Amino acid sequence: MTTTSDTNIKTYTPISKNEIITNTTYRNNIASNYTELIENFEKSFRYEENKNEYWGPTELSIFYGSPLYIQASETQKITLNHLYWITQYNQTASTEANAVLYNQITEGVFNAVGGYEILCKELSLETEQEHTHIRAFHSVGYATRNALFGNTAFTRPKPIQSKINSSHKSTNISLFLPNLNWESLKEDAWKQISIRLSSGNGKAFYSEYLLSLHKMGKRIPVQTTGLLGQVVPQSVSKLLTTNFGSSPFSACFFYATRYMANMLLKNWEQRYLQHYKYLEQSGRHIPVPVAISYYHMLDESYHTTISQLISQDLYKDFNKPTLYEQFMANAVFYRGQELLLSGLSGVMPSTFRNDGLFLQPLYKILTSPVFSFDHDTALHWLRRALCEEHDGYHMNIKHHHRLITTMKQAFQPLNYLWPVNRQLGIMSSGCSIERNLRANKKDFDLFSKSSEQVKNY
Amino acid sequence: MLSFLAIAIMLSNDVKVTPSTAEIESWLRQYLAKVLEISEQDIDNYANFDNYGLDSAIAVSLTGDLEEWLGRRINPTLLYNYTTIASLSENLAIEISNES
Repeated sequence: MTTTSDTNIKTYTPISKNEIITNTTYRNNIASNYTELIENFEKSFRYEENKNEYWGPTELSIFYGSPLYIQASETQKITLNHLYWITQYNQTASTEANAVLYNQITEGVFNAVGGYEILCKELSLETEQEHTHIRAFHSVGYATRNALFGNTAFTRPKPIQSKINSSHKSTNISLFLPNLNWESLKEDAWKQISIRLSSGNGKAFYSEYLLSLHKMGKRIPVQTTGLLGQVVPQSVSKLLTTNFGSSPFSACFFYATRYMANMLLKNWEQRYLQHYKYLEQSGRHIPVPVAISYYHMLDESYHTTISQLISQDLYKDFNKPTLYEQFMANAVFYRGQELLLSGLSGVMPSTFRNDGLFLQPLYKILTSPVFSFDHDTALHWLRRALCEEHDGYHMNIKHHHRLITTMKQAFQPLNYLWPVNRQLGIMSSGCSIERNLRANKKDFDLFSKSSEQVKNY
Repeated sequence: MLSFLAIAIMLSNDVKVTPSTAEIESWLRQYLAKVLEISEQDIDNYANFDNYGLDSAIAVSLTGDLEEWLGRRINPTLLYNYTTIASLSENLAIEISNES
């Protein structure tokens, strides 16, 4: 970095550790061809050509370790292995869509601050790469679902219970003031609140990306899926989005949540990398999804480095957070622990939430041509998988322990976090097979009670 | 020979559809009505996809089916950012016209 001294003589300050890491990561990332390889693999993917092989280690399969898995045929086991891949990468695609949006918003803040040009270039590059990743996960998922379940059969949603709540309905006030754009006013209010309560320099550091959306008359997107879409209630989603774009601290905090997502991903994707290497070393055929996983993990390693750098070190370059920013950061982190890290799935390895949410898709798998169970048989195997202790739970608890260790190392240095967040208190205390069996039993009973509705569904 | 070529082009999967916002809205309404097994009249253009019980898996199917209909690839993040028929149609139409 070049600076000018008081005497107008140019001096060269030593490049900082953060700059070295940023520059090296960007240089290596731009020189790599992992994204292009993923794109090529995606275009060549045909389910028929990959359907007879496992797409990862057998333990990365839906229902692995449960009584159902033990009695399943080899073909069914392979399909459960494929379904695990597409389910996990469907979730990954949603979280990467979060990254696409928030990378752009936070890059707009770092651009406004100035002096972070290489970092901004790296973030732009990552955003482009995420597009390719999402497309690849979609393509493989789409082709696989269509081959296994036929078009739309698997994604058929739950029945509508009542009238749909539209956010566009007129209020009494808007009837009297028809020209008033309430959504736009609300967004402006969030912006003013965020700027006033943030540690940023007033409007000076407001995200250039958000400004460009305002100028084009576009709404701030609200994402309801992915890590952040699930953690943050829809009602405060826009406020959080505006916060990320209002100050360097909040922009940096986004990377703490991204780092959390990176570690959750790595916890299971590492196994695909090992599987790829095993196939390669033994000269065996490598199915396309395994290759996509392998190159995705390599591509994501740059993103993880940047998440770590910004969340652990770069935030120290800027003003300390205000009480409001500190509260929001801690609330989001706490909720993330509660929702995504403190449960224990009995059927989805390396997933740390209870299985209530998965009951319906699991039921669909069991009644689909993959198993062809009738209603009662499907419920029988679901109950055994979810409400009885089996190897799947014990294996998953090992995945959980490994992740706790990694997470603690990552977030311990963040001194603005509450102790319960820094020490991953919710995550650590929530992991009990007994507790999760109780929660699953409750959800399963509710599900089976509505069996008539399910039967007709 | 020319007419044969023209027909071949028309029938090929490479034919790109450049629909208006209204046409995309109409396609989405029909699509959702079919998936949800409800009448098109019960579909609200301004209701969030979440309210219909559609989860992120639908984004995968919807993107794939939309791409087949349009004969072109679409920005895969559109369905995450714009979660109503109205907002998705508007932004998709803008994107398509920018590409054309």
